[in-house]
Amino acid sequence: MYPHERSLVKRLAGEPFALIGVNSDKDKEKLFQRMEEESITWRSFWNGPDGTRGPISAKWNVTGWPTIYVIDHKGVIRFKNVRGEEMDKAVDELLAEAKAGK
Amino acid sequence: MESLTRCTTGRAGTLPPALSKRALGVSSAGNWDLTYSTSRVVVRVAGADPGAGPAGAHRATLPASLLRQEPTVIRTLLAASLALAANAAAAQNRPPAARALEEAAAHLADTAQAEYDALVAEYDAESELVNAANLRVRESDEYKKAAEARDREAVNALFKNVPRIDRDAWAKRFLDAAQQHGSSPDQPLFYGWAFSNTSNKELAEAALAPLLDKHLKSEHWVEFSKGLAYGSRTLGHERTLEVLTTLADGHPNDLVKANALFGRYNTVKRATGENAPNEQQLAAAERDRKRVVELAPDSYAGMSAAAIDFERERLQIGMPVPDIQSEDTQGVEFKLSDYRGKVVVLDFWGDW
Repeated sequence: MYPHERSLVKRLAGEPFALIGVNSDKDKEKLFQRMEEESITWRSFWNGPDGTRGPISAKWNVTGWPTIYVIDHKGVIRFKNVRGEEMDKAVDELLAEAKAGK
Repeated sequence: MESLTRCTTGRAGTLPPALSKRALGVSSAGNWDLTYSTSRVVVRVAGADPGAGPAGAHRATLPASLLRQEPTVIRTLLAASLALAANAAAAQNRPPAARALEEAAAHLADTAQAEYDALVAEYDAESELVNAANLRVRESDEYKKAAEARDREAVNALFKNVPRIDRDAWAKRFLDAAQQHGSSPDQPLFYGWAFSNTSNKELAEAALAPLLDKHLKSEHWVEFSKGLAYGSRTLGHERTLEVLTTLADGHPNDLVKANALFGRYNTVKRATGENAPNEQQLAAAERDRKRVVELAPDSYAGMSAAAIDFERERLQIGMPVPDIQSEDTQGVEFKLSDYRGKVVVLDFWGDW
Protein backbone atom coordinates (compact mmCIF):
# COMPACT_ATOMS: atom_id res chain seq x y z
CA MET A 1 0.00 0.00 0.00
CA TYR A 2 2.79 2.43 0.80
CA PRO A 3 4.22 2.92 -2.71
CA HIS A 4 0.89 4.14 -4.08
CA GLU A 5 0.25 6.50 -1.20
CA ARG A 6 3.81 7.74 -1.28
CA SER A 7 3.51 8.63 -4.98
CA LEU A 8 0.13 10.30 -4.39
CA VAL A 9 1.61 12.52 -1.68
CA LYS A 10 4.60 13.30 -3.91
CA ARG A 11 2.48 14.08 -6.98
CA LEU A 12 0.17 16.43 -5.04
CA ALA A 13 2.84 18.33 -3.12
CA GLY A 14 1.82 21.99 -3.13
CA GLU A 15 -1.84 21.19 -3.86
CA PRO A 16 -4.61 21.68 -1.24
CA PHE A 17 -4.36 18.03 -0.32
CA ALA A 18 -3.41 16.01 2.77
CA LEU A 19 -3.07 12.33 3.49
CA ILE A 20 -3.89 11.75 7.16
CA GLY A 21 -3.39 8.36 8.73
CA VAL A 22 -4.86 6.64 11.75
CA ASN A 23 -2.11 4.27 12.74
CA SER A 24 -2.96 1.09 14.65
CA ASP A 25 0.51 -0.21 15.45
CA LYS A 26 1.01 -1.13 19.10
CA ASP A 27 4.77 -0.86 19.05
CA LYS A 28 6.03 2.66 18.30
CA GLU A 29 9.66 1.59 17.92
CA LYS A 30 8.76 -0.78 15.09
CA LEU A 31 6.43 1.83 13.63
CA PHE A 32 9.15 4.48 13.45
CA GLN A 33 11.53 1.96 11.88
CA ARG A 34 8.93 1.08 9.25
CA MET A 35 8.16 4.76 8.57
CA GLU A 36 11.86 5.36 8.04
CA GLU A 37 12.29 2.36 5.72
CA GLU A 38 9.22 3.14 3.66
CA SER A 39 9.65 6.93 3.64
CA ILE A 40 6.24 7.44 5.22
CA THR A 41 6.11 11.19 5.72
CA TRP A 42 2.42 11.82 6.25
CA ARG A 43 0.96 12.61 9.64
CA SER A 44 -1.02 9.97 11.53
CA PHE A 45 -3.21 9.91 14.59
CA TRP A 46 -2.05 7.12 16.88
CA ASN A 47 -4.75 4.61 17.82
CA GLY A 48 -3.01 3.89 21.14
CA PRO A 49 -1.37 0.89 22.80
CA ASP A 50 -4.33 -1.42 22.12
CA GLY A 51 -3.51 -1.39 18.40
CA THR A 52 -6.42 -2.43 16.22
CA ARG A 53 -8.61 -2.37 19.34
CA GLY A 54 -7.79 1.29 19.99
CA PRO A 55 -10.37 4.05 20.55
CA ILE A 56 -10.45 5.75 17.13
CA SER A 57 -10.92 2.63 15.02
CA ALA A 58 -13.37 1.25 17.60
CA LYS A 59 -15.53 4.39 17.41
CA TRP A 60 -15.42 4.46 13.60
CA ASN A 61 -16.32 0.76 13.32
CA VAL A 62 -13.14 -0.02 11.41
CA THR A 63 -12.81 -3.79 11.20
CA GLY A 64 -10.57 -4.08 8.12
CA TRP A 65 -7.27 -2.45 7.27
CA PRO A 66 -6.69 -0.34 5.33
CA THR A 67 -10.00 1.53 5.52
CA ILE A 68 -10.12 4.73 3.47
CA TYR A 69 -12.33 7.82 3.66
CA VAL A 70 -11.95 10.59 1.07
CA ILE A 71 -13.16 13.97 2.36
CA ASP A 72 -13.70 17.12 0.25
CA HIS A 73 -12.44 20.62 1.08
CA LYS A 74 -15.72 21.41 2.85
CA GLY A 75 -15.32 18.46 5.18
CA VAL A 76 -17.90 16.16 3.57
CA ILE A 77 -17.31 12.40 3.18
CA ARG A 78 -17.36 11.76 -0.57
CA PHE A 79 -15.78 8.33 -1.13
CA LYS A 80 -15.10 5.25 0.97
CA ASN A 81 -12.54 2.50 0.48
CA VAL A 82 -11.22 3.60 -2.90
CA ARG A 83 -7.83 2.10 -3.74
CA GLY A 84 -5.13 2.60 -6.37
CA GLU A 85 -6.30 4.39 -9.52
CA GLU A 86 -9.77 4.83 -8.05
CA MET A 87 -8.27 6.80 -5.17
CA ASP A 88 -6.31 9.00 -7.61
CA LYS A 89 -9.44 9.71 -9.63
CA ALA A 90 -11.48 10.56 -6.54
CA VAL A 91 -8.84 12.93 -5.21
CA ASP A 92 -8.36 14.65 -8.59
CA GLU A 93 -12.11 15.17 -8.93
CA LEU A 94 -12.34 16.76 -5.47
CA LEU A 95 -9.26 18.91 -6.09
CA ALA A 96 -10.89 20.27 -9.25
CA GLU A 97 -14.01 21.10 -7.21
CA ALA A 98 -11.94 22.82 -4.56
CA LYS A 99 -10.14 24.92 -7.15
CA ALA A 100 -13.38 25.84 -8.92
CA GLY A 101 -14.54 27.12 -5.54
CA LYS A 102 -17.67 24.99 -5.61
CA MET B 1 22.68 -19.61 47.85
CA GLU B 2 19.39 -18.15 46.76
CA SER B 3 17.76 -18.76 50.12
CA LEU B 4 20.64 -17.03 51.87
CA THR B 5 20.14 -13.94 49.76
CA ARG B 6 16.46 -14.01 50.53
CA CYS B 7 17.20 -14.34 54.23
CA THR B 8 19.30 -11.21 54.35
CA THR B 9 16.88 -9.03 52.37
CA GLY B 10 14.39 -8.87 55.22
CA ARG B 11 14.50 -6.12 57.82
CA ALA B 12 12.23 -6.15 60.82
CA GLY B 13 8.89 -4.58 59.97
CA THR B 14 9.22 -4.70 56.17
CA LEU B 15 7.99 -7.81 54.44
CA PRO B 16 10.84 -9.51 52.55
CA PRO B 17 10.14 -9.96 48.82
CA ALA B 18 10.18 -13.75 49.27
CA LEU B 19 7.08 -13.46 51.46
CA SER B 20 5.03 -11.29 49.10
CA LYS B 21 1.87 -12.91 47.80
CA ARG B 22 3.31 -12.63 44.33
CA ALA B 23 6.48 -14.53 45.24
CA LEU B 24 4.43 -17.16 47.02
CA GLY B 25 2.39 -17.61 43.83
CA VAL B 26 -1.07 -16.99 45.27
CA SER B 27 -3.59 -15.55 42.82
CA SER B 28 -6.05 -13.33 44.66
CA ALA B 29 -5.65 -11.39 47.90
CA GLY B 30 -7.29 -13.95 50.18
CA ASN B 31 -8.49 -13.19 53.70
CA TRP B 32 -5.02 -13.20 55.26
CA ASP B 33 -1.87 -11.07 55.49
CA LEU B 34 1.69 -11.67 56.62
CA THR B 35 3.82 -9.60 58.93
CA TYR B 36 7.47 -10.23 59.60
CA SER B 37 10.03 -9.49 62.26
CA THR B 38 13.58 -10.84 62.59
CA SER B 39 12.34 -13.69 64.77
CA ARG B 40 8.92 -14.62 63.44
CA VAL B 41 6.39 -14.60 60.63
CA VAL B 42 2.78 -13.95 61.63
CA VAL B 43 -0.27 -14.74 59.50
CA ARG B 44 -3.23 -12.54 60.33
CA VAL B 45 -6.61 -13.75 59.18
CA ALA B 46 -9.21 -11.06 58.64
CA GLY B 47 -12.53 -11.40 60.39
CA ALA B 48 -11.44 -14.52 62.24
CA ASP B 49 -12.07 -13.35 65.76
CA PRO B 50 -11.20 -9.74 66.43
CA GLY B 51 -12.26 -10.05 70.09
CA ALA B 52 -9.73 -12.76 70.79
CA GLY B 53 -6.87 -10.30 71.35
CA PRO B 54 -3.28 -10.54 70.13
CA ALA B 55 -2.87 -14.11 71.37
CA GLY B 56 -6.18 -15.24 69.90
CA ALA B 57 -6.91 -17.78 67.24
CA HIS B 58 -7.06 -15.31 64.36
CA ARG B 59 -3.39 -15.70 63.65
CA ALA B 60 -0.63 -18.25 63.36
CA THR B 61 3.01 -17.60 64.19
CA LEU B 62 5.98 -19.32 62.61
CA PRO B 63 9.72 -18.88 63.12
CA ALA B 64 11.48 -16.44 60.76
CA SER B 65 13.65 -19.32 59.47
CA LEU B 66 10.60 -20.10 57.33
CA LEU B 67 12.08 -17.56 54.95
CA ARG B 68 14.84 -19.99 53.93
CA GLN B 69 12.34 -22.39 52.36
CA GLU B 70 11.15 -22.59 48.78
CA PRO B 71 7.87 -20.71 48.06
CA THR B 72 5.84 -23.93 47.75
CA VAL B 73 7.15 -25.14 51.12
CA ILE B 74 6.40 -21.76 52.73
CA ARG B 75 2.83 -21.99 51.44
CA THR B 76 2.39 -25.53 52.68
CA LEU B 77 3.70 -24.67 56.15
CA LEU B 78 1.55 -21.56 56.42
CA ALA B 79 -1.52 -23.50 55.28
CA ALA B 80 -0.79 -26.30 57.77
CA SER B 81 -0.36 -23.90 60.68
CA LEU B 82 -3.64 -22.18 59.81
CA ALA B 83 -5.41 -25.54 59.56
CA LEU B 84 -4.15 -26.38 63.07
CA ALA B 85 -5.33 -22.99 64.34
CA ALA B 86 -8.71 -23.66 62.72
CA ASN B 87 -8.97 -27.00 64.56
CA ALA B 88 -8.07 -25.30 67.83
CA ALA B 89 -10.72 -22.63 67.26
CA ALA B 90 -13.33 -25.29 66.51
CA ALA B 91 -12.38 -27.15 69.71
CA GLN B 92 -12.80 -23.88 71.66
CA ASN B 93 -16.30 -23.59 70.14
CA ARG B 94 -15.55 -20.50 68.08
CA PRO B 95 -17.07 -21.38 64.69
CA PRO B 96 -16.58 -17.98 62.93
CA ALA B 97 -12.85 -18.05 63.72
CA ALA B 98 -12.60 -21.67 62.61
CA ARG B 99 -14.34 -20.86 59.29
CA ALA B 100 -12.13 -17.85 58.54
CA LEU B 101 -8.97 -19.80 59.37
CA GLU B 102 -10.08 -22.72 57.21
CA GLU B 103 -10.78 -20.36 54.35
CA ALA B 104 -7.29 -18.83 54.65
CA ALA B 105 -5.71 -22.30 54.86
CA ALA B 106 -7.55 -23.43 51.72
CA HIS B 107 -6.49 -20.26 49.91
CA LEU B 108 -2.84 -20.84 50.80
CA ALA B 109 -3.02 -24.50 49.80
CA ASP B 110 -4.52 -23.65 46.40
CA THR B 111 -1.70 -23.84 43.86
CA ALA B 112 -3.89 -23.76 40.73
CA GLN B 113 -2.89 -20.24 39.67
CA ALA B 114 0.83 -20.90 40.23
CA GLU B 115 0.71 -24.15 38.26
CA TYR B 116 -1.32 -22.53 35.51
CA ASP B 117 1.26 -19.72 35.23
CA ALA B 118 4.07 -22.28 35.07
CA LEU B 119 2.32 -24.24 32.32
CA VAL B 120 1.66 -21.08 30.29
CA ALA B 121 5.32 -20.06 30.71
CA GLU B 122 6.38 -23.49 29.43
CA TYR B 123 4.10 -23.12 26.41
CA ASP B 124 5.40 -19.59 25.74
CA ALA B 125 8.99 -20.80 25.86
CA GLU B 126 8.25 -23.57 23.36
CA SER B 127 6.40 -21.26 21.01
CA GLU B 128 9.27 -18.77 21.19
CA LEU B 129 11.69 -21.49 20.11
CA VAL B 130 9.43 -22.46 17.22
CA ASN B 131 9.06 -18.84 16.13
CA ALA B 132 12.81 -18.32 16.24
CA ALA B 133 13.39 -21.44 14.12
CA ASN B 134 10.85 -20.22 11.57
CA LEU B 135 12.43 -16.79 11.49
CA ARG B 136 15.89 -18.29 10.91
CA VAL B 137 14.57 -20.07 7.82
CA ARG B 138 12.75 -17.00 6.52
CA GLU B 139 15.87 -14.87 6.86
CA SER B 140 18.16 -17.41 5.20
CA ASP B 141 19.49 -16.82 1.68
CA GLU B 142 18.20 -20.24 0.57
CA TYR B 143 14.68 -19.23 1.54
CA LYS B 144 14.86 -15.83 -0.12
CA LYS B 145 16.12 -17.45 -3.31
CA ALA B 146 13.41 -20.12 -3.27
CA ALA B 147 10.68 -17.59 -2.48
CA GLU B 148 11.80 -15.29 -5.27
CA ALA B 149 11.79 -18.17 -7.75
CA ARG B 150 8.36 -19.19 -6.39
CA ASP B 151 9.79 -22.65 -5.90
CA ARG B 152 7.17 -24.11 -3.59
CA GLU B 153 8.91 -27.45 -3.27
CA ALA B 154 12.18 -25.86 -2.16
CA VAL B 155 10.32 -23.67 0.36
CA ASN B 156 8.52 -26.69 1.81
CA ALA B 157 11.81 -28.59 2.03
CA LEU B 158 13.38 -25.73 4.00
CA PHE B 159 10.54 -25.76 6.53
CA LYS B 160 10.40 -29.55 6.72
CA ASN B 161 12.67 -29.85 9.73
CA VAL B 162 11.42 -26.78 11.55
CA PRO B 163 9.50 -27.86 14.65
CA ARG B 164 5.81 -27.00 14.96
CA ILE B 165 3.84 -26.33 18.04
CA ASP B 166 1.07 -28.86 18.60
CA ARG B 167 -1.63 -26.73 20.20
CA ASP B 168 -4.03 -29.65 20.56
CA ALA B 169 -1.42 -31.61 22.52
CA TRP B 170 -1.00 -28.54 24.71
CA ALA B 171 -4.77 -28.22 25.12
CA LYS B 172 -4.77 -31.84 26.36
CA ARG B 173 -2.06 -31.01 28.89
CA PHE B 174 -4.15 -28.12 30.22
CA LEU B 175 -7.22 -30.39 30.39
CA ASP B 176 -5.21 -32.98 32.33
CA ALA B 177 -3.81 -30.34 34.68
CA ALA B 178 -7.36 -29.10 35.38
CA GLN B 179 -8.15 -32.52 36.89
CA GLN B 180 -5.63 -31.85 39.68
CA HIS B 181 -7.47 -28.71 40.81
CA GLY B 182 -11.08 -29.81 41.06
CA SER B 183 -11.78 -27.83 44.22
CA SER B 184 -9.98 -24.61 43.22
CA PRO B 185 -11.86 -21.51 42.07
CA ASP B 186 -8.98 -21.14 39.59
CA GLN B 187 -9.66 -24.48 37.89
CA PRO B 188 -11.44 -22.64 35.02
CA LEU B 189 -8.10 -21.10 34.00
CA PHE B 190 -6.95 -24.47 32.62
CA TYR B 191 -10.20 -25.14 30.78
CA GLY B 192 -10.23 -21.58 29.46
CA TRP B 193 -6.76 -21.94 27.97
CA ALA B 194 -7.64 -25.26 26.35
CA PHE B 195 -10.88 -23.87 24.95
CA SER B 196 -9.27 -20.69 23.60
CA ASN B 197 -6.30 -22.40 21.98
CA THR B 198 -7.69 -25.43 20.22
CA SER B 199 -9.53 -25.63 16.93
CA ASN B 200 -10.43 -29.26 17.60
CA LYS B 201 -14.16 -29.44 18.35
CA GLU B 202 -13.88 -32.45 20.63
CA LEU B 203 -11.22 -30.82 22.81
CA ALA B 204 -13.08 -27.52 22.82
CA GLU B 205 -16.23 -29.29 24.03
CA ALA B 206 -14.26 -31.18 26.70
CA ALA B 207 -13.08 -27.84 28.09
CA LEU B 208 -16.43 -26.13 27.67
CA ALA B 209 -18.56 -28.71 29.50
CA PRO B 210 -17.05 -28.10 32.97
CA LEU B 211 -16.88 -24.35 32.29
CA LEU B 212 -20.61 -24.24 31.69
CA ASP B 213 -21.74 -26.91 34.18
CA LYS B 214 -19.50 -26.22 37.13
CA HIS B 215 -18.03 -22.76 36.59
CA LEU B 216 -20.82 -20.85 34.84
CA LYS B 217 -20.62 -17.97 37.31
CA SER B 218 -16.81 -17.87 37.56
CA GLU B 219 -15.08 -14.46 37.45
CA HIS B 220 -12.64 -15.99 34.97
CA TRP B 221 -15.34 -15.73 32.30
CA VAL B 222 -14.53 -12.00 32.12
CA GLU B 223 -11.31 -12.99 30.31
CA PHE B 224 -12.63 -16.00 28.36
CA SER B 225 -15.74 -14.22 27.12
CA LYS B 226 -13.68 -11.61 25.23
CA GLY B 227 -12.73 -14.30 22.74
CA LEU B 228 -16.37 -15.29 22.30
CA ALA B 229 -17.54 -11.75 21.46
CA TYR B 230 -17.00 -12.57 17.80
CA GLY B 231 -18.49 -16.06 17.90
CA SER B 232 -16.65 -19.34 17.49
CA ARG B 233 -15.58 -21.17 14.36
CA THR B 234 -14.67 -24.28 16.30
CA LEU B 235 -18.08 -24.98 17.79
CA GLY B 236 -20.30 -24.55 14.76
CA HIS B 237 -23.32 -22.24 14.37
CA GLU B 238 -26.00 -23.92 16.52
CA ARG B 239 -23.71 -24.83 19.40
CA THR B 240 -22.11 -21.37 19.43
CA LEU B 241 -25.54 -19.75 19.82
CA GLU B 242 -26.49 -22.24 22.54
CA VAL B 243 -23.28 -21.58 24.53
CA LEU B 244 -23.57 -17.79 24.20
CA THR B 245 -27.21 -17.89 25.32
CA THR B 246 -26.32 -19.98 28.39
CA LEU B 247 -23.61 -17.49 29.27
CA ALA B 248 -25.70 -14.36 28.63
CA ASP B 249 -28.57 -15.72 30.76
CA GLY B 250 -26.48 -17.40 33.45
CA HIS B 251 -23.55 -15.12 34.26
CA PRO B 252 -23.98 -12.35 36.84
CA ASN B 253 -21.31 -10.02 35.38
CA ASP B 254 -22.46 -7.34 32.88
CA LEU B 255 -19.21 -7.46 30.92
CA VAL B 256 -19.56 -11.22 30.41
CA LYS B 257 -23.21 -10.80 29.40
CA ALA B 258 -22.21 -8.04 26.96
CA ASN B 259 -19.48 -10.17 25.37
CA ALA B 260 -21.85 -13.13 25.06
CA LEU B 261 -24.64 -11.02 23.52
CA PHE B 262 -22.23 -9.36 21.09
CA GLY B 263 -20.99 -12.83 20.15
CA ARG B 264 -24.58 -13.88 19.48
CA TYR B 265 -25.17 -10.73 17.38
CA ASN B 266 -22.04 -11.36 15.30
CA THR B 267 -22.80 -15.06 14.89
CA VAL B 268 -26.32 -14.35 13.58
CA LYS B 269 -25.26 -11.43 11.36
CA ARG B 270 -22.39 -13.29 9.73
CA ALA B 271 -24.18 -16.58 9.15
CA THR B 272 -24.57 -17.59 5.53
CA GLY B 273 -26.18 -20.43 3.57
CA GLU B 274 -28.66 -22.51 5.52
CA ASN B 275 -27.93 -20.53 8.70
CA ALA B 276 -28.52 -17.13 7.05
CA PRO B 277 -30.77 -15.11 9.37
CA ASN B 278 -34.41 -14.32 8.57
CA GLU B 279 -35.99 -10.95 9.39
CA GLN B 280 -37.07 -12.03 12.85
CA GLN B 281 -33.60 -13.30 13.75
CA LEU B 282 -32.05 -10.07 12.47
CA ALA B 283 -34.40 -8.03 14.65
CA ALA B 284 -33.46 -10.16 17.68
CA ALA B 285 -29.78 -9.65 16.86
CA GLU B 286 -30.31 -5.88 16.77
CA ARG B 287 -31.89 -6.07 20.23
CA ASP B 288 -28.82 -8.01 21.45
CA ARG B 289 -26.57 -5.32 20.06
CA LYS B 290 -28.44 -2.45 21.76
CA ARG B 291 -28.29 -4.40 25.02
CA VAL B 292 -24.49 -4.73 24.68
CA VAL B 293 -24.19 -0.92 24.53
CA GLU B 294 -26.41 -0.56 27.62
CA LEU B 295 -24.60 -3.26 29.63
CA ALA B 296 -20.96 -2.32 29.02
CA PRO B 297 -20.58 0.94 27.05
CA ASP B 298 -16.86 1.30 27.87
CA SER B 299 -15.84 -2.24 26.98
CA TYR B 300 -14.46 -3.11 23.55
CA ALA B 301 -17.65 -5.04 22.75
CA GLY B 302 -19.75 -2.05 23.89
CA MET B 303 -17.76 0.42 21.81
CA SER B 304 -17.87 -1.87 18.77
CA ALA B 305 -21.63 -2.37 19.16
CA ALA B 306 -22.16 1.41 19.40
CA ALA B 307 -19.81 2.01 16.45
CA ILE B 308 -22.23 0.21 14.14
CA ASP B 309 -24.78 2.99 14.82
CA PHE B 310 -22.07 5.65 14.54
CA GLU B 311 -21.07 4.39 11.10
CA ARG B 312 -24.69 4.16 9.94
CA GLU B 313 -25.65 7.61 11.22
CA ARG B 314 -22.46 9.66 10.85
CA LEU B 315 -20.09 8.05 8.38
CA GLN B 316 -22.07 7.72 5.15
CA ILE B 317 -21.13 9.36 1.86
CA GLY B 318 -22.48 12.92 1.75
CA MET B 319 -22.31 13.41 5.53
CA PRO B 320 -20.04 15.98 7.20
CA VAL B 321 -17.10 14.04 8.57
CA PRO B 322 -17.00 13.76 12.40
CA ASP B 323 -13.93 15.42 13.86
CA ILE B 324 -11.08 13.44 15.36
CA GLN B 325 -8.96 15.04 18.06
CA SER B 326 -6.04 12.99 19.30
CA GLU B 327 -2.27 12.65 19.42
CA ASP B 328 -0.18 11.95 16.36
CA THR B 329 2.51 9.26 16.40
CA GLN B 330 4.98 11.82 17.84
CA GLY B 331 2.63 12.63 20.71
CA VAL B 332 1.46 16.02 19.36
CA GLU B 333 -2.26 16.72 19.66
CA PHE B 334 -4.11 17.69 16.46
CA LYS B 335 -7.54 17.65 14.86
CA LEU B 336 -8.83 16.32 11.58
CA SER B 337 -10.66 19.65 11.15
CA ASP B 338 -7.26 21.43 11.10
CA TYR B 339 -7.20 20.30 7.46
CA ARG B 340 -10.55 21.84 6.44
CA GLY B 341 -10.13 23.58 3.08
CA LYS B 342 -8.02 20.69 1.82
CA VAL B 343 -9.00 17.44 0.17
CA VAL B 344 -8.18 14.75 2.72
CA VAL B 345 -7.57 11.04 2.33
CA LEU B 346 -8.11 9.53 5.78
CA ASP B 347 -6.30 6.23 5.86
CA PHE B 348 -6.65 3.70 8.72
CA TRP B 349 -3.39 1.81 8.41
CA GLY B 350 -0.90 -0.26 10.36
CA ASP B 351 1.94 -2.66 9.94
CA TRP B 352 1.72 -5.65 12.22
